[in-house]
Amino acid sequence: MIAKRDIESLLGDATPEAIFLHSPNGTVRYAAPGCEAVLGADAPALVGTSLIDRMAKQERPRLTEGLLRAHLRGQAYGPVLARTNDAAIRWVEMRTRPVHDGSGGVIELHTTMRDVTKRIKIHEELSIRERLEREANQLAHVGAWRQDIDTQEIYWSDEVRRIFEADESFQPTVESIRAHYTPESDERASQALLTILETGETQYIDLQITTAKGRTAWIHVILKCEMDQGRPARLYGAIQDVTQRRKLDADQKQLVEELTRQRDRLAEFGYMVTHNFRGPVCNLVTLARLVRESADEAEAAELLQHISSSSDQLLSMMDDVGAVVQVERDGSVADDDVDLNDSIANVMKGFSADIHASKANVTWDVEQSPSLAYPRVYLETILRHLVSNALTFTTKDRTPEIHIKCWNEGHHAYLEITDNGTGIDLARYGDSIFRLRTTFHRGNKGRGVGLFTIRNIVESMGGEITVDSLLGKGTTFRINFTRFKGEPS
Amino acid sequence: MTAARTMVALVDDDRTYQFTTEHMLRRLDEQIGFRWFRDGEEAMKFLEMHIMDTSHLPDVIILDINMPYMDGWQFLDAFHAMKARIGKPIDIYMVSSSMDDRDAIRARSFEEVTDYVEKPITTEKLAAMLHRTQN
Repeated sequence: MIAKRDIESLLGDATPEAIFLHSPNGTVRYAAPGCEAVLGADAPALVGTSLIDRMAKQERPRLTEGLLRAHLRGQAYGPVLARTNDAAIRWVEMRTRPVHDGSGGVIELHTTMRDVTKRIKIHEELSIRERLEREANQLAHVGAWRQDIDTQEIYWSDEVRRIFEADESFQPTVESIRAHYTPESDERASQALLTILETGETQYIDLQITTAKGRTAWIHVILKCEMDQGRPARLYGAIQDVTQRRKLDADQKQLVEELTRQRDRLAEFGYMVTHNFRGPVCNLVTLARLVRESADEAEAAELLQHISSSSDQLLSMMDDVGAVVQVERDGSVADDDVDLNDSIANVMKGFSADIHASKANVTWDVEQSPSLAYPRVYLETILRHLVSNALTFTTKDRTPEIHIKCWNEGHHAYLEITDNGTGIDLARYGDSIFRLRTTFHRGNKGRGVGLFTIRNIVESMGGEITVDSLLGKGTTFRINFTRFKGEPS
Repeated sequence: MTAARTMVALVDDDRTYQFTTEHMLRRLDEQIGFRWFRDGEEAMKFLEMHIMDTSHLPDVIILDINMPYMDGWQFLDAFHAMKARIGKPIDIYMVSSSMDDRDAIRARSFEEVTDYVEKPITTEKLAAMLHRTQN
């Protein structure tokens, strides 16, 4: 920081001066008292020595030349680097003029020398500070703006211009700036303007702009109001390019969401190990013990039968989970350009016997979005499970109706499958229907695997599955395939 | 030993578990009465139906936690509400394959629960249950 008094001392020129009389080649003939403060050597010691030798080496040729010119017509010097006895670097300003004899000839040179080290340092510091400020503004992408309310005249700092990617020829006016705003941002800006003119309160808004080069950017605008005699006279403030920050924020939010879902799924896997898998294993342990304790051969044979079916059950459970783990691991498999008509028809082919037997009326509508970027195998697995559910949980009193609908909304792709089956009591089961081995229909028709598999596929592909159901009326499963994917850039 | 035979009800959706438990109980007591319910709701309906009929009511209920329809916790809540009307004392053992401590703590917080037992259940444990009831 530069204190005010430093600047005042510069203006007051209170720095010491040294005065010399010397020959044109610099040899000192007379040194006035006060040299000590400037050159660090006292006056008598300087007499007979060369002034040129007092200067830093690199300055000497320039000084020699300067003295020669001073000899001819008088010459003022800018600051030069002086070498002083205490070996400190010191800047001096020299002013040399010739001393003439009666006939106009030059008899010697008169030089005043002033220590300007402090001034030079302050100048340096100022310019460094200025440069740093400018660079910091550039780095932070912050610019300043100002608008006169009466004349509507607008000033933009260079950085604002850079943020808008506008060249020198661009004249910032209310209209030319508004042309860069998106309609929503224009609305927001107008609102902020009204508010600040009414209340005088500083406003902070984020606006989306299209730059002069057509790039989409986000800016954070600070609006402040300067009052003059009780009415707003000027608006001013800062504009910061926050495009990068917003993108990072969005990326981070997405990452946190993804990690949260992964953590939830991991917790569920933990739950499966402690609950679902332990059951059949405990059965095996007990059965083995009973076999060992059994003396009766027929009884042992029956127990072995149970051991065999328990181990089969355990294996099939592990396979189910294994399939899900594989999807999780291969989550990044490439999308296919799936023809939905084709894919649905293909899945239905596998159910033709069931559909025929139940006289189910199966329809689908993919007109609004005939194709989907998704791994075809996954999509068909999902469809197969959902169709199987819809065909399994039907009511006896009405013809099963199953309808599949696909559509796009913004950058989201949806699939919905609706049936008029038994429905699920969601108040009772809620989200647990997507858990492994949760069956919610008495009669044990469900294996409790399907929905668990589907949800894991959908979620590991960045989507979401939700369910809506009315007991006795029917069920709708809705998949948003791209729920957790950011907007395509 | 009391003259009346001991009645045990198993509330669990696992068929193999039902088989092994019944097998062990019959080894312990040939006269034992055994009933199997696949979930809490089935068991609750049975209790409601026989609430005054102590000869049908179980002396011991072996209750699983994770079941479809009405799980172990829901069963305990329903049982708590009807307990006062039941004509005889019933020991409830919560048995689960869960390794989660929280399940054990929660189970023991119900005054209706005599104990929490982690699967696999042993013959010794079943014998202890019967012994407590029969004496």
